Amino acid sequence: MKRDFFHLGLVMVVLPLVLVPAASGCSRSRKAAKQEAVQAVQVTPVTAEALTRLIRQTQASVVAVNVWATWCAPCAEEFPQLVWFQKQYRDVGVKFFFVSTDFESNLPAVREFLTRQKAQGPAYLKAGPDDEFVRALSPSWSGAIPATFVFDSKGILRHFHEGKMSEKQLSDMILDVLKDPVSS
Amino acid sequence: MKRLLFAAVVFFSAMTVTAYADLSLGDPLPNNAAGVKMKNVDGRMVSINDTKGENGTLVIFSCNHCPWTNAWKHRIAFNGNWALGKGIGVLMINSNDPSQFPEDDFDGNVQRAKDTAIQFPYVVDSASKVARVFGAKKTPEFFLFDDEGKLVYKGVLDDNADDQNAVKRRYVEEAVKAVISGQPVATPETRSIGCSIKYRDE
Repeated sequence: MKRDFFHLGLVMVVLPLVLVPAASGCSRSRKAAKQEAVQAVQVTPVTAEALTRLIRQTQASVVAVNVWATWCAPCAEEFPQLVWFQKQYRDVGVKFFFVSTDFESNLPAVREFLTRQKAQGPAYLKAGPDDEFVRALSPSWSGAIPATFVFDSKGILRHFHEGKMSEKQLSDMILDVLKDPVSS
Repeated sequence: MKRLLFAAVVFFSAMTVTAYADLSLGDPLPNNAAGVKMKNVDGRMVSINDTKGENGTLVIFSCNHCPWTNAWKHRIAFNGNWALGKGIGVLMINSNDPSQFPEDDFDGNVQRAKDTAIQFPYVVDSASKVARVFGAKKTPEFFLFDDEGKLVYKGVLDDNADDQNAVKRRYVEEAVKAVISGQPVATPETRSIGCSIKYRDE
């Protein structure tokens, strides 16, 4: 009985010595890997003017622009379906731009969010005055987020949705433009 | 093809209308919102009519959970207190549903009013009716009415939420000054990014 206690005591002393460095080593490498992934997501500052130009220059049948922020709960809720659409429709000429409206100091959280969501590029961070930015995307937009804008191959805004979307609302907008990507 | 295009146009215009059908410049203070009694942080029931000023009235849609209202909160307090001193009635309204954002309940308003030392009422729009009538979609958003009760400015406080040292245009201050001196407001409508207001059930 005494010996058992001795053994137990020994295990309790030795076990942490073995496990702790192993565990911390493991979490270190995992953390490093995570950090690498986080840094891999490029987030480019974009002004209203530059964004409009990018939409027009993109060789795609449909460009969907989603405006979001890390601190916006409905944005986070609809994000997975946007990423899913992005993957499903990539090969048929639908391109997604994700534009974060987070403050610049929040950039690390933006990168982490995009990495966690497995979003493909391009990803942007709104730069310049809000007034220009909101008006450039749509004169009908109040500025509330989330908001999603669907442009055709000529860069003409064809649909826009303010607030969280259902999957059907998103697919209706995208498929409608995809059927007829050249506005006349 | 033509029919498709027509359908698309109808669809798009319908969306546009529902997305932003709100109070326009020149509109009078809406009667069905101005009389709504709302609970102030001191427990009194206050309406927009009760807070009208001799030179005009400033209605602010705000809340306590949103990073934009938080970034602006001291500037909102400062500008509101300043406008009060200029004979402008000021009322700040929280129309958010606290079941979605707990800090947007009455106690949250009391805390916010204390933290920022506002001298104007901060009230609970308990059915989000005032926000609906105004067409207020996001926080923060400002509506300034002149001494005749006509909407002369709607939009944002200033042109930089993130960095107050980088502010170039103080839109609300400019509009209040114009109203007091009987001049037209140079920039009567501005847009900004903000948190969407989560309306309560009617």
